[in-house]
Amino acid sequence: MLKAENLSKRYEGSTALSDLNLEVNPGEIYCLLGANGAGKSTTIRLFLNFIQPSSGRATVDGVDVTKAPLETKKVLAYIPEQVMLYPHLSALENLEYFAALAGHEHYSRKELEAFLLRSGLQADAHAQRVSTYSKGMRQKVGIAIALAKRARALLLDEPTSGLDPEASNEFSGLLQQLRGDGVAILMATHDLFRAKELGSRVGIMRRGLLRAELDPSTLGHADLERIYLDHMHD
Amino acid sequence: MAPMRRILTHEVRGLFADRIVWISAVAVVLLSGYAVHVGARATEAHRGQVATAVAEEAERYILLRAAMEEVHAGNASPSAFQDPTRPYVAGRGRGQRYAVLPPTSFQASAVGQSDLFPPVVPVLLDGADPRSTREEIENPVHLLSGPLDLAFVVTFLLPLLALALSFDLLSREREQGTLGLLLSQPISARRLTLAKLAARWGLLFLLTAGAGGLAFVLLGGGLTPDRFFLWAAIVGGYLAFWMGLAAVVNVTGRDSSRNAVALAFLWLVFVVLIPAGVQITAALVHPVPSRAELVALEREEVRQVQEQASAVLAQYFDDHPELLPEGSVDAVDFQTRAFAVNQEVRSRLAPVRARYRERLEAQREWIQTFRWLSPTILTYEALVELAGTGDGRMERFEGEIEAFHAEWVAFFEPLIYGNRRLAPEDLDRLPSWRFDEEGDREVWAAVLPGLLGLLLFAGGALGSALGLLRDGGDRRWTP
Amino acid sequence: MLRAIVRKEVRETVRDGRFRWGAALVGLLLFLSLAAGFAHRKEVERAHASAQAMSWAQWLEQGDKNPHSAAHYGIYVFRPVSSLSFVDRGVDPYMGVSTWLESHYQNPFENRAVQDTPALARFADLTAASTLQLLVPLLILLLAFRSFAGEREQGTLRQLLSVGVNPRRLATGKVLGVGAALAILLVPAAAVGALALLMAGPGGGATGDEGLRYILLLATYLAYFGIFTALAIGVSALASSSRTALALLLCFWIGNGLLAPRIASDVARSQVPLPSSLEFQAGIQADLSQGFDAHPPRELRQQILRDSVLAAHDVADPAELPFNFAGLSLQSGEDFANLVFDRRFGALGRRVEEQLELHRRLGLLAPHLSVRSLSMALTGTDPAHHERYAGAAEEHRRLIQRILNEDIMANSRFGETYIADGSLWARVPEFEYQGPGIRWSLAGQGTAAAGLLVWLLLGAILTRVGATAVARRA
Repeated sequence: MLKAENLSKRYEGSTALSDLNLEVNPGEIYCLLGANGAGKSTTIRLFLNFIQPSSGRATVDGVDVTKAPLETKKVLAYIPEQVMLYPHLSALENLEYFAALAGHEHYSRKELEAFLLRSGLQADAHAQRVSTYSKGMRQKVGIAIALAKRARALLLDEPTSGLDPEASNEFSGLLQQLRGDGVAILMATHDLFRAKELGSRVGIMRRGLLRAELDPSTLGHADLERIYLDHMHD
Repeated sequence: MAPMRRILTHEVRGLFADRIVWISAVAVVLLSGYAVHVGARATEAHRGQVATAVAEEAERYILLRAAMEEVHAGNASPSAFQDPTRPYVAGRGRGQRYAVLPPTSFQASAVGQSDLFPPVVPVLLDGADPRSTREEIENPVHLLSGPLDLAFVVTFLLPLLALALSFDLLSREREQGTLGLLLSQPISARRLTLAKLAARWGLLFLLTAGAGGLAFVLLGGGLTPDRFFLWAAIVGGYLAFWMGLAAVVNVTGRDSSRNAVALAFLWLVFVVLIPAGVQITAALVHPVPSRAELVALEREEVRQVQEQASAVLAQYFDDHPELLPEGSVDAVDFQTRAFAVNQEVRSRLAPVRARYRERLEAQREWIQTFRWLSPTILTYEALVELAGTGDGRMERFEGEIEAFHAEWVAFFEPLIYGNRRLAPEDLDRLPSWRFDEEGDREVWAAVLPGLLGLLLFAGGALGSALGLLRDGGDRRWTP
Repeated sequence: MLRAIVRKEVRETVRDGRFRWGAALVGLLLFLSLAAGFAHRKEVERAHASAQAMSWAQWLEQGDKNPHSAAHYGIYVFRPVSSLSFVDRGVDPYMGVSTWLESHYQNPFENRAVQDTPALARFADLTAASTLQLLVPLLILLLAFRSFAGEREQGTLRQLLSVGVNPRRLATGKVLGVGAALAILLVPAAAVGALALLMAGPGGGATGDEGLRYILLLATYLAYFGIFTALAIGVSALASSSRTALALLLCFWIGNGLLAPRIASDVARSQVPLPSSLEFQAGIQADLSQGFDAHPPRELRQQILRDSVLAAHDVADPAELPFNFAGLSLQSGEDFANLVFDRRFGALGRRVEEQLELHRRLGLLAPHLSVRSLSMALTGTDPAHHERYAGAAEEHRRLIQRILNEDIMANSRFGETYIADGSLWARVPEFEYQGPGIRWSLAGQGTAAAGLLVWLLLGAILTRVGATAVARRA
């Protein structure tokens, strides 16, 4: 579903990403681990065509994102570290707007509410302005936007950082559900625990290079941490 | 185009939630209304001056006719200086005509030059110069301040309001964090920007045109539909330029406050600096000589011509022997002599006077050439021409006065040299003033090039913003 | 500690691209407009001096004629330009440059420079004064609106206050920092201005009066810039974000510099209306022919004069008087007309002055009005200075009439055709105008100065309040 082929991004004098090759299939969660500046966000931004690759290509469902950005964005959903919404609008209104932009203008209010409920947002919060929302609540609206869009691939940029354990756990549950629905998920994170728990595969990045690709089911928590630190220190 | 409409409605809703928008809206409405009020009052004063002059002239003519009848009936024998049947007397003070410039139907929209030049210019044998006619009494500090008319509101303030609404067109989305989510949707950045601009442009345009139009209907004495249409087109084009400029700055700039500062500087450059630069260079390249020296020069000419008065008269009667009075040139009376001297001085000074107009015309040409540097100049010139208070109509007025004065002199010349007397019924044959008003076609011709230039500017700004937004290539504005 | 704050502010400002661009732009404009003003002043001075010399020569060389004909021939006088008008030319372009001193009438000044300019000139009037009054304040606002709000948004404010900086001292430091950065721009401009002043005087040097005017002019503008600096920093401290601070400050700038002068004019016009030119002239004509108050109409006046003079000399016919009655009659006509002119022009002048005082009072709402009034007064280019010149010219006109009429009285006989010798004209002194001293110039400016001080105080209070609030809201 999501595929990077020799994907590289160089800025003047520095390399943000070099020759990344990875593939995320439907029903898979691929966790990218790495320190700040390792190239995780760059990868996600390349998939979203926010920036242009220096070489190589990123494809979504076989389509090069630089060739047909609007086509590929129909398939993608993006949840940034901070899901920021229009503060003067309610969750429902925000959802309606983003769904409309994604080409789904046909949703009834009931359907939209159903997406919010499925994302775990309490019904009494739907009509509140999002300026009063906590980070976790906004994250849920982000998921609802992805659901409403019927996205087949999800790009997450450190979605759980700053969430309290309970919210984080709830969020993981939601991702599990999406995976169950056959969505391909690429998630950049610092959270080794979540990566171990959720990931179908885990990639460790450092200085723009994908250093290792692991199957977390074969490892314990301590093993993952040890391998990660090994890669960070040599 | 469903999403486009959706973005538009979303933006409008967002705008209505913004305090700055409400403040701007109130400002637009209040300022437009006040400005039209100011313009309407100035127009009213103008109309009053014209009416007073016309009434005074009519009354003076009744008295003149009566006085002439008295003389003819032999009931009065005034001195040569008072005798109304003498053409030299009738052609100067007592029978002088007023060249009047009537206000246009759209004059309340721009005061322009109308507060500097009197709309009523006496035309008498000695001359008729609108630029040195005694002006209305006015506090010079008020002239220095300039009027708060609609042209000022549109050219100076409207851009500031447009910028207040659009300086954070994209930067705000980035700063509140919604830009990433927004651009991860299958919607192109161009279309997004275009929709955002359209919402703001539409809001401000409707407010300005609506408030302006309403104020005209209520205060300005009604609307002239085609002029209002042109006015609205100018306003729309000018607004579009500033919106486009805000978009360019948003695409190339960074945070909102930097954008605001950059746009404030651009405002300064386009609204203040370029117009001032064009004006100052025009005055440097084509300086108008000081009128002070003309005053003294004129006296010098009068002295010289007076010394040669006999020769001047002899020359005239050589050309028109049929008018030569009994006896000789020396028998010519004082008035004929004075008239001849005056005519000769005028013709000698004609090239000097012409230089003032030539220089002024050269300045205007310079401005016409360089007005393409700033949409503000284009807008201002178009607005004053549309109102009929700009240089174009002023020049037309001057030209017609000159022609009328020539006609006036031509009427009296044979009468004076022939030493003839006027009969009361001759008053009906005197040339009378009628201002040959600009036709609609001429107004359109004066305004359209500027409007076109304005649209080019707007198109250029929008085009470069959209060009910079082309998908592909990293952009500073991306999340 | 204060020095450290100021140093940091200056360093930050000078490194800021906005300051560099803005200061370069404003600096360039200031120098160019000063240079243009200087050249313009020199040219006008030359043209007026040469025209006046020509007119005087014409007067002297008019040959033998009747003195009253000479009185009608008259002299033209041309307004001199003040030496500081290169900084602020005030209402100069809007006032006529010449007037004709002839018998019977006080003529208005004619030939306004602004009449020989295209429409754009009104719109785009960029002078040293408008640069100082409008553009420098804009530069200050754009420099200072982020001073507190920006630091709060960056998070450095909290850091600063956590170190234990006294917020008031911080605010003072910021004000001084903006001032120091501006000094880079303004000190050279002031020096150039001083140099230009030294070169402007006819003798190549400035008088003490001019020097004092220049110093006070600098102080006035310094106070004006101080107001903007203090306001900008106060608002920056109180506003919820730098965006709001900028919006508020720009609104103030627009209201103060662009709207206030226009609205003040409008208010003055409707509160203190001036007569129309036609009404005014008709009033003078009515006074002259019908008299006013206890003064009888023209014919009666002439009758009374004749009767009283004849009675006083105990003769029956004017021809028997020891002097030419025609001269006395002419002078008496002048004397009466002078009463009318004093009364009518005086009333008009008072109304204009009332309007101007209204402008100065409104300066309490918008300091631009105060600074404009003070600047024009100090540079000698406000309506009051023009009025004073017009008064001096009128006095001279009256002097000419008196000399000529007395000559008629003394040297001719009633009823004869009198041709005076051409040497008589030289007995009329040449018109020389001495500009007023600074004390006179500033006499009416109390309200304006008070307005400026009130705003300075307001700015200081706002900065203080802002600094206190910053400590609570960091």
